[in-house]
Amino acid sequence: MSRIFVGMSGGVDSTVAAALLKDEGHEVVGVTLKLWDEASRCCNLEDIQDARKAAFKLGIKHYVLNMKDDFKKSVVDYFIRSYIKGITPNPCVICNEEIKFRALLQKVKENNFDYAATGHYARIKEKNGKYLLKEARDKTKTQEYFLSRLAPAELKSIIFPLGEYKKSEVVKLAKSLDVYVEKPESQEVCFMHKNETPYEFIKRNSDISMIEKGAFYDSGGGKISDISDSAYFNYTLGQRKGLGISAGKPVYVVKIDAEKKRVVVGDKKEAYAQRFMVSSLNILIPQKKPEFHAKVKVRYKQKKAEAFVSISGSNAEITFREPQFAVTPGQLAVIYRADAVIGSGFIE
Amino acid sequence: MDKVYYLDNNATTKTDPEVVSAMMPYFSENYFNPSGVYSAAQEARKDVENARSAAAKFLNADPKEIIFTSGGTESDNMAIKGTAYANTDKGKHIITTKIEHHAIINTCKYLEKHGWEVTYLGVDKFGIVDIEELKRSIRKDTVLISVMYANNEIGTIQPIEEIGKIARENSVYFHTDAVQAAGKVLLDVKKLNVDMMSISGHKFHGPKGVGIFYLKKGVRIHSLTQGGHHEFNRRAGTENVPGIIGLAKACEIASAHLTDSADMARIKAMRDRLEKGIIERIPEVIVNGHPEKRMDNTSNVSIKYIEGEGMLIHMDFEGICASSGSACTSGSLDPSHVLLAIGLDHGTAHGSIRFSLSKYTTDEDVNKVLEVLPPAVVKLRSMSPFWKEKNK
Repeated sequence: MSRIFVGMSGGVDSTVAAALLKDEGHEVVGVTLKLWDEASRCCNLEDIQDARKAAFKLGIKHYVLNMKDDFKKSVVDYFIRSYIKGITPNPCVICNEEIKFRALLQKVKENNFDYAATGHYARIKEKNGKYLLKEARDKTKTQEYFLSRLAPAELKSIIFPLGEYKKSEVVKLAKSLDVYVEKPESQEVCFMHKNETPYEFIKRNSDISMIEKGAFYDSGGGKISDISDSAYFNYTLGQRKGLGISAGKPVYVVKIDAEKKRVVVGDKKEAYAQRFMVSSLNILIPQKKPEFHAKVKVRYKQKKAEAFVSISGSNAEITFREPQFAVTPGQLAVIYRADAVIGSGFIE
Repeated sequence: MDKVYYLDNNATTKTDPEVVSAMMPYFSENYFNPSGVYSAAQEARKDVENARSAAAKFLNADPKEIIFTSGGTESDNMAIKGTAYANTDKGKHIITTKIEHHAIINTCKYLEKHGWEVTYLGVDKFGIVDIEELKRSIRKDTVLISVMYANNEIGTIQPIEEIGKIARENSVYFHTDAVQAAGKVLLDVKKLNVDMMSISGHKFHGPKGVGIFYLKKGVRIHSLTQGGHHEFNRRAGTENVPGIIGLAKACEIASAHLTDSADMARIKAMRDRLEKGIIERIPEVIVNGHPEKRMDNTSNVSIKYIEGEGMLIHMDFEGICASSGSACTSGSLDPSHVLLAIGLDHGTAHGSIRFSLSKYTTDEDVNKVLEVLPPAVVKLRSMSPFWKEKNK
C-alpha cells in the first residue's frame, strides 16, 4: 500500500484516477488547487464542490490548496507577457510544470507520502531504473505533450492511473461508481472567459494603460490596414479566420513583429517552416550524441513528424524532413522516440 | 469518526446537551406556530417570549429590544443596511474598522457600490482600533459607527464602552458585532453605550441558524425583510421556535459559566499552557493579538517561514481541528485581512494558526497539539526556501 496525493479537478478523469488508486488499496488523499478567483470556465467554486463531493463519495480526505498567487505570477503574468512580446503562450504546459505537479509533489514530501497522481492520459514506465514518459493507450486523449516539462526526477514520484484506459472506459467507470459529472471538456485556457480573445483578457487583467494596436502588413512590406478592434498580439501564426481583412484570396498570419507592432500576412506556404530553434530544453531521456534523428510535434494536435535534432547546451536546432505548418514561437516542441518523450523546448 | 481534538471554537462550538434537550420538544409535540389564536399556539408564544426575556437578561436589555434572527450575519446586515436605509436624511457615511468580520465588511462594500461612503479605521499592532482616527472620522453625515467587540481571529477586545461614549456624544448610532464575545465576556448593552448588537447562538454552545439582534428603543432602522408582523415588525417570517428556545438556554448556561471564575480560569490556563508550549518548542513564533485585552480562549500564532495550510493538513491527519486565515466556502485560504491590518507581512500572515478553546476543551487536546505541531513545523521548515534562506 502506498500513500498518494491525487490532484482532483472535479472532472471525471481525476475522480476516476482517485477511485482506481483507492480500489487498489492505497491510502488516497484528494487535493484541489484554487488557482483563479473569477467564475471563468474552470477553477471555480462549482468545480471545487464537485471535487469535494467526489472525494466524499470515494470516502477519502480532501483539501483545497490556495495557489492563486503562484498561478498569477507563473501562469497569468507569463501569458500576458508572451502575447505582448508577440509570441503565443502555452499556459497549460507552464501550469503543469510550475504549479500543479510542484504543489502535489510538495505535499507528498511534506507529509511523507509516496506518490502524486493526476487524471492525465499518459504513461510512466520504468526501464533500468530510469523513468520514461510515454503516450497513453488512448491516442485521441494522450497528454504527454503537456507533461513534457516535468523533471526526470519527478517522474519517479508520479502516477497516471488513466494511462492504460480509454476515455470511454473512464466514463463508464465513473458512471458505475456514480461519480460521473456532465460537464464540458476542460478548455485550453481555463482562466479566460468564454469566447474571450487574448486582447480582451489582457485589457481586463493587465495594468498596461495604453495598448499600441499596430497594423496588418503583407509579406512584401506593404501596409494593408490598421488594427482597430484588437491588437497585433491577438493573432497567432498560421491563423486564417477572424483577421477581418479582405485580400481577395485566403491569407494567413505568417509573422508577428512585436517590435514594429505588425501582423504580417501572406500565402499559406509562407506559414511553413523547416528549421527552427528551441530553448529551455528539458531532457527526459539523455542521448548519447547531441545530434540525432527523432520525431517532433510542435502543436498538441499535430502528428509527429520526422526531424533531425542538434542539441547545444539548453538549446537545440530542429530540422524537419518536410516543412511544417505554423511553427509558432512560444509553443512547445516535443521530441519523441517511438511513443516516449525524449525532451521538449520552447520554439524561438 | 476517528478521535477529534477540537480547537476551533471560534468557528463554531459543540451544542450543549442541555440546549439540545431543551429544543427537542419543539421539533415534535410543541410544533405550533406562535402566531396562532388557539391555546396550543399561545403556549408556543409564551415559550418564545420567555426565551426573549432570557436573551434580554443575558445582555441587560429590555425584551422588546431583542429581535431573533438567523444568526450573526443577518444581525450585522440589519444593523448596517437597516440603519443606512433609514437615515439617508441625515447622511450616507458609515465608520467601521479594517478588522471586522466579512458580514460587516462586505455589507459595507455593498453599500459603497450604492452611494454610501465608508471609512475603515486602522488598528495598532495588537488590533486595537485607533480612537483618535475614529474621532477625526466622524462627520455631520455620519449615521453609524460599527466596531466589533472581540476579533474572531486574534481575540483582541476593543474599548467598546469608550467608543460608545464617543458615538453618543456625537449623536451617531453605534453597533457592535459581539458574535465572538458572547459567552466569553459579560455583555451589558447599557454599560457599553451601544445602540445595536449582533449575537450568534452557535458560537457559545447554542444551535446554528439562530441569533440575536439587539436594537435599542428609539433607534431608527428599516426592516430588510417584508412580510408578516413578526419580531415587532422588524423581521418578518415565522419564528425559528426550536432555535430560539435553544438559544435562550445557551444564554442561561453562558451566564452561569461567565460568573464561575474557576471555569473561566480553567480555559485561560489551558490556552496559556498551549501558547507557552508552542513558543518553547518552536523557534520564530509570533503571538498575535493584544497581550491582555484578548479573549481567554483564543490563541493566534504566526509560525514564520511556512504556510498555515501545510500545518493544518499535518494536524488534520492527527485529528486536530484548528484554522488558519479565515475559513471560506471553497476551503482555500487567503491571507487574513485582520493579520494584514495589524501589520504582518503576507508571508507571516500565511503562516498563522488559530487555536480557540471552549469549556469542552481538555488537557488532552492541548497535549495533542504540543505533540503533533512541533515536529510538523520542523518537517515543513526543512522544505521551506524561506527558512533555508534565513539560516544561510
